Amino acid sequence: LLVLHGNSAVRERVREAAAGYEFRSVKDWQDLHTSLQRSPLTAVAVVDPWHPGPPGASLERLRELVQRFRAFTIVAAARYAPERGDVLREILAWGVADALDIDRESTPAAITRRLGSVQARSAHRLVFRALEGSVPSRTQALLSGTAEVVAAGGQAPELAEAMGADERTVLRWLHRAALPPPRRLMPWIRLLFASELLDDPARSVESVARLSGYAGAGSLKVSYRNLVSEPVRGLRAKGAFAVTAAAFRSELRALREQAREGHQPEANWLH
Amino acid sequence: MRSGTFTTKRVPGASRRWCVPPAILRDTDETLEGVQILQEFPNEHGLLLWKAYRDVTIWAATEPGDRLELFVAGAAGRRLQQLGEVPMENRVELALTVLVAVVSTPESIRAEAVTLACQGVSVWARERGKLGTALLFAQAAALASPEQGRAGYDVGSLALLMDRPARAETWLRRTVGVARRGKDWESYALAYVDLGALYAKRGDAEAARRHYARAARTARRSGYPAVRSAALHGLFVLEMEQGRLDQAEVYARKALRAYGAEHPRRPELLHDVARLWVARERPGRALSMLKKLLPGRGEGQDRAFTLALLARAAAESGDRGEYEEAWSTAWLAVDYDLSGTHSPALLELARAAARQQDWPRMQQASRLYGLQPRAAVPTRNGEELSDLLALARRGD
Repeated sequence: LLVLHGNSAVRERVREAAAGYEFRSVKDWQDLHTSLQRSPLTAVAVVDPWHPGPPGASLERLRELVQRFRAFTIVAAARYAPERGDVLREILAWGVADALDIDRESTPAAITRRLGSVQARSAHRLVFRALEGSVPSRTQALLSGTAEVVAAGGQAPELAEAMGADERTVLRWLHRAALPPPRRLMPWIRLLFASELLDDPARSVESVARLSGYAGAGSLKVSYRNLVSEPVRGLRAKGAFAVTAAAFRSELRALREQAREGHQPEANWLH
Repeated sequence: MRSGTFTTKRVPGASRRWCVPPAILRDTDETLEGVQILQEFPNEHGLLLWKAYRDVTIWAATEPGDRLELFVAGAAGRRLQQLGEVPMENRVELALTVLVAVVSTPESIRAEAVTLACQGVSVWARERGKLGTALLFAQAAALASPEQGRAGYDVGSLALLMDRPARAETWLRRTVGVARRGKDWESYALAYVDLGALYAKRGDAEAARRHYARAARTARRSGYPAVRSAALHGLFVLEMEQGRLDQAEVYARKALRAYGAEHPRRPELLHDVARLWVARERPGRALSMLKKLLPGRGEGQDRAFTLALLARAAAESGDRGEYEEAWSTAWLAVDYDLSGTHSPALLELARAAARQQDWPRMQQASRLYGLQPRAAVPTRNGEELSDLLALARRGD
């Protein structure tokens, strides 16, 4: 978690909220560029869009940053007075992931929530990118919830808690939606995250494993062997995300076929 | 932890059947929470509404015991000052003032008050045609009070209106579960009516019939005549569109009785009855009914469709003068629109022209119908149009 902000109180609160992140306060735009170049794609930058920096208006520096580091999550933390609505719309259109209003939301609790929400949205997009085609509405809702729990590092009990049900109920919902049980679905989603990172050739398997929540390269390799039946080296050559996503889709298709043959009730949700 | 889906905390000791599956909170193309508000209100109101919306969602996602230190001390004062500086309508200002308490006293503000204020903003935005904002505030209201069936129903209903079927379906099904748990039979039946409409729109007549029938049954048993009439109206239109005209007439009669004389949706029902008369080859009755209804049909899509139906009824009655006038006025109202909203009107215009063997107009309407988005043209209508065009070619 990289922070570029002139307000020391904001920096301090972001640091307090940064549990689970490696925190670093950067001194200027150049330092931020350099730090992002060395960071994993999971890095988040909290920046003051009006932070001074040559040349001219600093909003231009923010635009440069977003354009150069499109794959990274950049959050613009500032005071957004009512007359600044057009500025906010503009920076969001550039691709800033979220805007943190420091007048209200600069408490550690609120920052944690906002960062969690940004992370959840990225997870949501990644899973639906893997699915490509249309997904029944109930499946969408369940997958979306599961992706968010996985992004936050949760397991099956946390998934049940987030869905307000017990584990058996969640299992039943997933079964009815022709999805794998949590103990298989969650590793699938975690593997999709890992595959996205693995497609970056500059990254070692060890660092991908660590960033995706695995104990080490060994457990990541085991997971690939169990779910995708491909060694990591081969995956990199073919495109890890594309191969993992195809294997995931194929498993979901097989489950849907099984459900159709078994005439499961309530299988007629909208596509 | 929740944000993309919406769940309700399980009631301790409750059986599994009371757990309600999650609903969709955002569409996959939504990159930022609440961005539609900024898009729909590109003025100072936009930012105030956006902040209020985000305050509620973050507040609702936080456990009550952790809300005390959620917002910066003194933030409420600044917000009140901003509200005072930006002129806005009283009722929305009042609702936003209530929502300032989410920031000033997050630990003690009552969820019901937050829900009411959000619903107020949602209704206000809907009246202005800002449906994205209306949907978000309706959703914020439901997040604040997840046990309220009615709040969930509003989200599903708005999502249906905005043609977001997946989101609508998950919210409406969720409403069924929540309303059943709270014995809120009105919301329960309303959700079934909208589910019926959703499935009818997607061409699943069997599912639509089942859901409408369930809504009608529940509304009758629980004493909600307005909801029952909406369900009967849905069944009537469904049967008419399926070509089961006798059954449609039975439901139309029941719906007319259930609506009574003063119900605001009665003119819409009468308009559908006129459609039935055209389909039953009683164009004279349809013609007089449509003429009476025309002044109340407003502008745009509704007016164009009524005029097109009027042209068809006149064509079926052999009233050439009335046909000519209605057809030309309807054509002007359609105004070469290619969005798909005028597809039903264009089909009626083509049918009317075919009946009058007015081949140039027939081809004019058919050509524009053929340019509409495929999603707005049901397969059976496309086939009918091909037949009509073949007829026109022979007529030429």
